[in-house]
Amino acid sequence: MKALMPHTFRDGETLCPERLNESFLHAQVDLDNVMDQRYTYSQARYNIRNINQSDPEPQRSFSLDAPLGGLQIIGVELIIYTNDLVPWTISAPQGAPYPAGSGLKGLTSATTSPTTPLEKSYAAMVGTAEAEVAGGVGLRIAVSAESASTIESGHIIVHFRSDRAVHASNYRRYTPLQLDCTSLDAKAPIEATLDDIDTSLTDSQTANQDMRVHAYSERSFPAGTRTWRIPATQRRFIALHSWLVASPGITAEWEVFDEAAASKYLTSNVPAGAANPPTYDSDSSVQTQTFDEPENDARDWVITLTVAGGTAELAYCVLYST
Amino acid sequence: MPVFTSPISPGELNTHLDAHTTPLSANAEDGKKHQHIEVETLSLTDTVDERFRVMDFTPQDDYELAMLGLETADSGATGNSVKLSLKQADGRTEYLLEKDWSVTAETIIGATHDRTAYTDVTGDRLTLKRGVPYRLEVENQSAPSVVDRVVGWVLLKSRRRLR
Repeated sequence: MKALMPHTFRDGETLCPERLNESFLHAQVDLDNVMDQRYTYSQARYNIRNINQSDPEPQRSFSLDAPLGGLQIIGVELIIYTNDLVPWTISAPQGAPYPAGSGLKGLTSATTSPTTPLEKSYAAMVGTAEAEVAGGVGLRIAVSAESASTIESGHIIVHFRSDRAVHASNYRRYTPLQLDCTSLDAKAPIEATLDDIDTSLTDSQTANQDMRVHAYSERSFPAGTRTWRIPATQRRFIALHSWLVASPGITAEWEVFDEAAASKYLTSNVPAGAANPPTYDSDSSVQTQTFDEPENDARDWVITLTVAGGTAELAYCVLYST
Repeated sequence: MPVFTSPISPGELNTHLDAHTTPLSANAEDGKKHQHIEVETLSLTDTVDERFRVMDFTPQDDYELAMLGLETADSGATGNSVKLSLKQADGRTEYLLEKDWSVTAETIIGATHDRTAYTDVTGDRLTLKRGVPYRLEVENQSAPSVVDRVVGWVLLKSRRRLR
């Protein structure tokens, strides 16, 4: 791809249509090779340790509301360890008080039946249908047990696929014009073909929106602070969404700090709210990691959860980057 | 957009035909992205059940292993050691090239940050394969003692895919 065009045209030579066409085809191959690479995969993980079947349903649920289009869910895993040996189910129920959406089409639920407390129990919702969670279309994922049970340790893992092509107004493929001797009588067809190459390249550059999703969650988190580190890899953060399930008067604030630990970006301060429905807040200010130095902890960005006023039954956030 | 100032200039033609190659290469490079997966454990002792100190994950795409990182915080002054390992969740090793992929924090007092990069051209490299269940595991190698908090992470590098 980094090779230049196959022919160098020189003064005095006859402009041969075949050589020109070969150059246009070369450009098409280059562009197709890059534009065909559309999809980026990522996964978000929710900690569900200590979730109990007797907990109110909002404490057993997680919501998603993607900030950009082109994000698809391609599967959801449930991994649990429980002493109770009671089947647990993961599902994607829809409706109030959560964002209305199309749900996981064809991927409705899956159940796992633990056999021993110390061994992993696993279920996965996987299918051919994909659900888009874009443009305000939300999704809720919940776990429930057949009878009284507590998850000693476990996670929900949501697998995403991002399609960058939807972020160009016209993800247009360049189709080379094949010139003949007649068309060489005019420069207009050549100029039009070069314009097409430029347009396709611009589309590909505009579609540099390879979204990845990362989640942080805490259960029964007392008043206080906890931090996690995000290695510096020049990520471009585009949104931070956060939810809180807690009694009125309790607040949770999620913040993302840059490597200087002075500036504060992407603050999502969940207001005090009732336990049901969860309260929600978001910040869509775009911030970019300057450095590509994951080996240097001084360059890390830090995400911080601060809970005040009491214990937050469930606090979680979803961080989107491109 | 007019390209040629005179009927057809070879120089201008060459320039315009070559002009897209460099930005297109840069555009392809932009598709290389990082993401990380964490395992977090509080009050890690050498006897903590495995279920409380592991994180299993099954990639839905092939990833390049870029780095393993270990962050610890301990208010004690006993100088514990903690190890983070990348394993296969099924206990096998064939997708790990039968090598040890790990990073260790030693003599932990207060907060520590330890990282091992796997991007050196001449060093060990590993591709995590789609559909293979992997595991991040932290273990306290000092007995008997407790480390207040351990966060281990794996940094993965991905590329855009055809499907």
